[in-house]
Amino acid sequence: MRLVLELEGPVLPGGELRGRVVVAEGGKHRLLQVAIRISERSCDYRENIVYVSAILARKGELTAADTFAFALTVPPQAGPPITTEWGGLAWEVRAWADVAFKRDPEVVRPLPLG
Amino acid sequence: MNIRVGGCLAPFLALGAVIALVVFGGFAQLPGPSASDVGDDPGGLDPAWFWLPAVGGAVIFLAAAFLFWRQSNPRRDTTLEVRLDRNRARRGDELRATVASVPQRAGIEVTLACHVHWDRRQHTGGSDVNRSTDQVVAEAVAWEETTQASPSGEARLRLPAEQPYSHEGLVISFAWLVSARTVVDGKHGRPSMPAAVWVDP
Repeated sequence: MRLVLELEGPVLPGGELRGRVVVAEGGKHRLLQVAIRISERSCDYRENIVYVSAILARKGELTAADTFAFALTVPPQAGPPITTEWGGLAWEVRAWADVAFKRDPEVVRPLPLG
Repeated sequence: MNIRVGGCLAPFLALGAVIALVVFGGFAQLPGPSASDVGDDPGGLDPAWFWLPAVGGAVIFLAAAFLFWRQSNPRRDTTLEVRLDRNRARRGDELRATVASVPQRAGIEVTLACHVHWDRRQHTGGSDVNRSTDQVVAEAVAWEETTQASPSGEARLRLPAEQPYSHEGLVISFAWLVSARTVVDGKHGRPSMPAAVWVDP
């Protein structure tokens, strides 16, 4: 299975992010989700914190060209990415499908902030 | 207790620690009574009973000495106080800092700094068997700028637009702090307690 994430933007913090998840290659899944998260990393550790998410489809078969529109509220504290020599952070949009006994297909894009 | 008196007490307390160690440690070193005629029991107190007050007394005296010394030599200059015109700002904004209780004939430097705290692995133990990994928080200054305050103790500080904004995270955090210190004849004093400002993107 392969997913494509299309985002409208840029959007302001606190505003509404609209977008679509398009299925490029179909397959069975248990859950199709999209989320806005912050990805923090230091030299040794990495942590992703989900701020807002939505379930786009539950258990079933996804076929190529299936399209799922979504709208998520951007957290008001969202900001541009920070990169330092000790680590950094980035706000991202992630779409992924929960697939049984296989690696979950996912697509991650930077949050398009205005 | 008067701070100066506390500071003067510190060396005497350290001396007390040495005396406790020498006196009780000396007793522990004394040879015990010879074995009794009846059996192998040497009799008398085990030397460990002397080492206990020796080490315990030394630790208590040293701890008290350190506390008194720290009280009279604080890490921060508690006489200076930094006040900001606001506690929340955006990158690129200008802040106005006012330093209260400026001593006469002293210059004042005000420092705006972005502190970064991040998680990192720390390996402890020498051999492979004893080797363990701990998660520790490290700290560094990501950016700082020092400005000379006016004689009345005022300074204008520009929050740089290209530097990190405030963030309190799980793995990495960024905090903006403003502190001040005196400059007398080119000698810098200790920094004051910092004032925090939350910087939005």
